[in-house]
Amino acid sequence: MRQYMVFMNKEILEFIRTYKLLVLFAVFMILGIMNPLTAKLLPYIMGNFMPEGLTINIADPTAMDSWTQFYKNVPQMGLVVLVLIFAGIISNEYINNTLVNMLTKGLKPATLVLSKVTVAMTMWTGAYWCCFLITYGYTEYYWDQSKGSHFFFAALYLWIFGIFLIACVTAASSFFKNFYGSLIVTGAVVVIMYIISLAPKTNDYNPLSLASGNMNILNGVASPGDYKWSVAIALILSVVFTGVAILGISRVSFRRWK
Amino acid sequence: MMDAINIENLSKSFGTHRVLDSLDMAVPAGSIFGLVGENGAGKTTIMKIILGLLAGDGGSIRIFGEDISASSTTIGYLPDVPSFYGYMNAIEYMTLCGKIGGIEAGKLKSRTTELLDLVGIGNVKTRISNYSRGMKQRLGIAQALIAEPDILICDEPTSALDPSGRRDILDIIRDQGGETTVIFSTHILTDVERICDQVALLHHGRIVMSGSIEELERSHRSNEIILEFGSAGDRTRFVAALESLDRPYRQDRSSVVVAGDKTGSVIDILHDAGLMPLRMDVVEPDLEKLFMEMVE
Amino acid sequence: MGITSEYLPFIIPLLILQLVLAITAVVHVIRHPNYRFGNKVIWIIVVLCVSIIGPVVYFVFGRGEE
Repeated sequence: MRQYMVFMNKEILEFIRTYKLLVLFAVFMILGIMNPLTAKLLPYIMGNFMPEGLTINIADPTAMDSWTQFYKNVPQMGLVVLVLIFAGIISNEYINNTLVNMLTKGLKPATLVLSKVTVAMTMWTGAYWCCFLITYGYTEYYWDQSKGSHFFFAALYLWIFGIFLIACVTAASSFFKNFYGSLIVTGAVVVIMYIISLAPKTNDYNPLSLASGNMNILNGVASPGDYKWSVAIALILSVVFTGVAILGISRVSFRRWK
Repeated sequence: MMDAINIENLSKSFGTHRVLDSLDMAVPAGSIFGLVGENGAGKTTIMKIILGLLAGDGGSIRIFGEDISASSTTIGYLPDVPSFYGYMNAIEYMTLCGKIGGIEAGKLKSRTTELLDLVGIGNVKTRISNYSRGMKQRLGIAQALIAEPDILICDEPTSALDPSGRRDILDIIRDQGGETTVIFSTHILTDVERICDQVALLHHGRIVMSGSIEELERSHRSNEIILEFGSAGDRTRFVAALESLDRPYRQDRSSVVVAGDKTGSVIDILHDAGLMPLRMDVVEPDLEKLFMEMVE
Repeated sequence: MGITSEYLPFIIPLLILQLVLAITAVVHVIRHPNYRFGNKVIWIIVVLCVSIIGPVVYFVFGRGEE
């Protein structure tokens, strides 16, 4: 427990001093503002593409358009930045050879991974809900949100998907002594989930549904309960990935430290 | 005397490359133990196995009598190229190491100051990313000592340093001896002669020679006397006198080397033959010669 | 047109955030002139001209060892 707290402090200091925390929060806050802004600008943008003289009734943007942007931009841009920032979470320690001094002081591989994962997930939680609240605030101010349902669950599921991605990138990162391996593996996992999702029957179980079905929940097309298996599988896999990451580090430390 | 580390029959291969070959090694407690060998001889591999950073392929390793897997001995380690979190300063890094190593919070602050002063970077406030190689080596020793280790392992601690930095580092390491058992690897024999009381020569994955330095020098070779003569004739007469007395000798282009620790007997030979050499030196054996002989 | 004033509540915080990112990155590029790849001029251009992604890429890939 002592080592866990100490190493978490080290991780937080690292993310502050290497500017990664700043970048993460800035990007998600920018996204939070961009979502309602894009929704609002969309009619003008569309209008500019229309031929002269032709008028089409473009419906005024609604709260749902703002949330559509949220559930498009956060997965497409936010999650990419998230994975990039945490891609070196363990491999950077291999690359820079910084683990030796910690392991020889008796830092246990499991403690190391758990403290890193805790910090990463906390940072994701902060940045993500900050983004959510910003979009929510703007949307509430400019539009009527009374028609949507289950705002919290729709957002919660995307958050869980982020947790899943962090666990995945951490596991991959613990097996590579370079920066790119974890990105390739995480990309491959997402592609595999996407290919599986082409068979519609699997969508109730696919973690990827947590990042794609959110608007259905908001629109009332699907209920939060429809995704219970996706949630369960995403969380189970997150635990498994964390275990895999511990195995990855255990390769470099054999002594059973007391 | 109890052994701090006792290794028996240890082997280690990387793929098909056999780095350690049924190696036996004993490090007496409290000694300063020099592990000598050329690059690639397996020095770093032995150290990493003792530290638990690598697993051996077989054999037993006992640390203060306990099997390595059950040992709770604190071992400090200075890697050959120490690496740190560059975004921290020395105090922050030492605090992290101390807390991970389980030093009491009350003691940690004074211990950190004490060690940073000892290695001579007590007043450096910049982040470690700005450190020179020598400063990193000094911080490396400080972090290795933070948890008051029973054993200190230093991998080539002097190889990248200038002469004054090297003397400082050797002094620091020597001062740890006694309470702490120190193992340090090097390919620089003068470093060993300066501070070690025990030495082992590693060659092709085996310890080919080990023991205390005086013991080795005494048992492996006696003195030699080198003589040079002004003319080839003098030399021939001297060699003939040696042969008539059955004294072992060897010669090269300019000199004759006589084995034997009695300078007096050689002077008698010279006297009896009426010869006066140009030069006569007594050569004491040194480690370098010893090791060259063992390796050849 | 009231468009500009209508969008001020969006544009001001957006500008501030992007400026913070860009300026932090530029200062870092100038003060730490060792990079994994690229050179100072390239990174200054990338960080200033490619909004959001530029600073992200610099801090994740481009910066040298601390």
